[in-house]
Amino acid sequence: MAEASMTVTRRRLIAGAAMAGVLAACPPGVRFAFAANGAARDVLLVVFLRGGMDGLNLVAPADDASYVAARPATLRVTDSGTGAGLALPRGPSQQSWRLNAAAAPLKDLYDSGDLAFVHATGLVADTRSHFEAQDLIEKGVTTTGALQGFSGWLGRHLVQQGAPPALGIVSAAQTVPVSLAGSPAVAIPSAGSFALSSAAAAPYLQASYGDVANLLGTAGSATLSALASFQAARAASPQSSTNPVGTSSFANALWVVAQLMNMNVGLQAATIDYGGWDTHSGQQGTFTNLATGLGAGLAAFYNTVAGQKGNLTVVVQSEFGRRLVSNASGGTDHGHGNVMTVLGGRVNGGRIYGGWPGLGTNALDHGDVPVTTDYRTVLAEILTTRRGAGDLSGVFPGLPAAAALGVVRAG
Amino acid sequence: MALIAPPPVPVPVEEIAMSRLTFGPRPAETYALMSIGLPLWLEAQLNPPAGDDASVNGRLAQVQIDGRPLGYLNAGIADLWALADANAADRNRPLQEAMAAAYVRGVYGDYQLKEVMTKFWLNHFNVSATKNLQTTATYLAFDRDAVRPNCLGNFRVLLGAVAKSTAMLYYLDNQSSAKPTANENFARELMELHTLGIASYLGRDPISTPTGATAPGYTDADVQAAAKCFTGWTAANGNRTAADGTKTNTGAFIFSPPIHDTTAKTLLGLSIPANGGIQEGESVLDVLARHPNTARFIATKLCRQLVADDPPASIVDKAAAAFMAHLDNPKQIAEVVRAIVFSPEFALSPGQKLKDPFQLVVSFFRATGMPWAPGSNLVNLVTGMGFAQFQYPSPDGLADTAAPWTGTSGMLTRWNAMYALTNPARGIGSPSFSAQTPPSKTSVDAVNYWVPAMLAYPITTPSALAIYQYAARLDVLGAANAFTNPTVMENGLRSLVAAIGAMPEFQVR
Repeated sequence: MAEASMTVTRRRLIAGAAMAGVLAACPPGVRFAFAANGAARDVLLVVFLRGGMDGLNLVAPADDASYVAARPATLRVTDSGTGAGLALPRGPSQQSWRLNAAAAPLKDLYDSGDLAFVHATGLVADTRSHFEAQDLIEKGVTTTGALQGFSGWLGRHLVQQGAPPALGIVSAAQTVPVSLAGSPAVAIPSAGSFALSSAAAAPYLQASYGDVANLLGTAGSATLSALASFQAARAASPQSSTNPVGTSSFANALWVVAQLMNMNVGLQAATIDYGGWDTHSGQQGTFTNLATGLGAGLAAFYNTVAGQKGNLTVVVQSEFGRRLVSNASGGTDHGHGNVMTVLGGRVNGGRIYGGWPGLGTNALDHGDVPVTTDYRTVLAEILTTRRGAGDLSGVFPGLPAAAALGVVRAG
Repeated sequence: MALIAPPPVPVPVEEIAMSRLTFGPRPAETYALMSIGLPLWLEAQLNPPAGDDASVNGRLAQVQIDGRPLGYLNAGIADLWALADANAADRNRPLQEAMAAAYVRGVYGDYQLKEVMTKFWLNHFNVSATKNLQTTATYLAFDRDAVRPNCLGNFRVLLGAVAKSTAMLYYLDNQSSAKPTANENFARELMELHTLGIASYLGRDPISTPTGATAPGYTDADVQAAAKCFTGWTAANGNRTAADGTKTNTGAFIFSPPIHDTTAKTLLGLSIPANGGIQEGESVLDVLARHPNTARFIATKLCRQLVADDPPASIVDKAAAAFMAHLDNPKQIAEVVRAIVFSPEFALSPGQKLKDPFQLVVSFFRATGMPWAPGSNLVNLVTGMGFAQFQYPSPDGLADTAAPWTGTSGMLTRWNAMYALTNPARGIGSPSFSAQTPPSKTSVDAVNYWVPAMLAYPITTPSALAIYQYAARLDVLGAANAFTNPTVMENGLRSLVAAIGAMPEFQVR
């Protein structure tokens, strides 16, 4: 048995080594050309704020009487006093729209015209469940009947656009989110440790996993291939070991994306999860910390890849907003409509988009901000204008035709 | 069933039981099961004695973390509660000890099914111990007092113990829920994640009501009404007034009348009159624990844990029926497990489940018999694999299906972990595989010993070919002095054992 095994194994080994060799030999220029083929297509970075980010604590009409009455000042964006919100001109109503001061760096990007908000946006479905709302949003559908076995909206879009380069679709996390399901996405939580610790293991694992037609065989082969591509690209384009974005886990994920952009691997889309927003109690401290991390992280990341900002669009969303009226625990419970953030060199920024019905009792949806803009309308515009997407009926099935808000422009 | 990595030939049900109802084969355990047969072995496993067995106690007594023995495993809630203080030097110590004990029990426990089920329920009723100082200090009591004693017992008893545990009260915020604006966090996840399940939300699966009528699932109004019922379920934290008027600071569960919403409520078709006090919450738990949709939800999750990622409806039906048939049985959960294990579907499911990182590491310790040390090196390694033991932030718990663990990072970290565990420099394992391996002259001898010693199921041809080839490498066990130079031999065997741990066959259970 050992005799026969050697023969076959050697053949597999050679096949594996040859494949790794081809990838290693492929100069970065070749891959850049592949990516440049779709030069009009932005790198699309989707940041998902897991837990239900309280949009009313991030961007709000600070002088709205219903708003002021519904919450203590510690859970509001205020228009005066210590920590007062920063004025956001061109809001959706004639009110004092302001940004939570903790996220101050976003104010600069807003003023420079690279950042826009879309308010009262979200999922056109009643659910107030984190997990169901995330699932629906990431799959790009509105009814749970469509959930079973369905792939992700971003994954479907990317597959529709043809085979991406080896590292063209990246989740900067330990897992691949539902939005990328159905695409050949690669999970890279940290660029510095995306390597086998034993070089001898590579050909062995190739032989053990390589030709096996089951879930593990497929997963193992995809992993070995991604590792080889990544090591080759990194060798061709060494990256600083110091993270200029920051030290938080959100900053680390942003740094993974920035490095891949700098390495010219032909990145098409990337996702980042930023969790901890489920602030049912003690919201003030938690939200301030998270919003600080959001503002500082996005701004530092944007600065790091400034040279490529004309081909970059960043979308920040969450599964739902939180209820207008706070609870007795110094927190807020699950709500509905929320604010989305769009950042990039071709964003028509410095504006808050979206229909704003106000916060009066009759305007609310079960006590929550209503959804006046289907979040998919915003994403569809970005895919069409910035990623050259054509027919989107397969990406967002059943999305009613709606005029684009004009959040982004061509060019 | 999804094909994860099935064995190439049929395997006896005992081998499946050893993979699913324990943390993986260990020579002594396999011998015991094969000798007495599955029915008798399972009977003993379904009826574990209270507390830890002698093997575990012996090992726990030897464990040290940061140079100190485990001192908090038997500490009462008041002593643990005293550590819920940012200035307490030992504030993280109970959590570290609970983590270490979970590994020790998983590797050495005689009552393996109890460990498997404790892990299952701790994940089902997920609490992130690092959410706040209080959850960090009291997680150990949540594990020890609420979950562990009830892991094969009655679901209603388990549910009540969880709802009243200090860690859960502080994780899902019920401790601060008060009239007139109740905090909905606990009530929502109680229905969605602990009992009825998301399929019963907002008009999907119809749900029957206590009056026999059916309602189109539970709604946000039901969640809000339940949240009101649970106002006043809190912990004695020095600020809350108990029913007897005292304000103590012991961390124990209390019902606090002054913050309880006394209005009448209606939920799931049940009318709860005003002024019901603590009984209102108990009534909500009663309705939920006896609900057929809860039976179905729990049965599905148990079958997903013990049979396959997408278990056949036929075995879920049997498990749900057992749940409903034993609602008042103090061993209700054991009866559900029994129904699953003795179903034909169970016997046909080898290799249908992927080990999560904790299961992978514990099964590696069991299969190799290697000395190892719990502590931060081990915790950091497994956290880096995506398994934040007792610290997963979201209440839905860690995934119990294969896909989330098999992305590029998931595969890479599980391969690297095998090499880390066998490398003494990483401060976890202290292997001396040379002493364990029978006298060998060639790499083939070594493979022929270690592969059957470690794998639960038969090896497939590609892996067999690959591991012989790997072992024959000059830098593994192929050099002329590989079996004469003790250092070369030990290093080669460490690489070999790590490689077996990295192969597809070792990833499944």
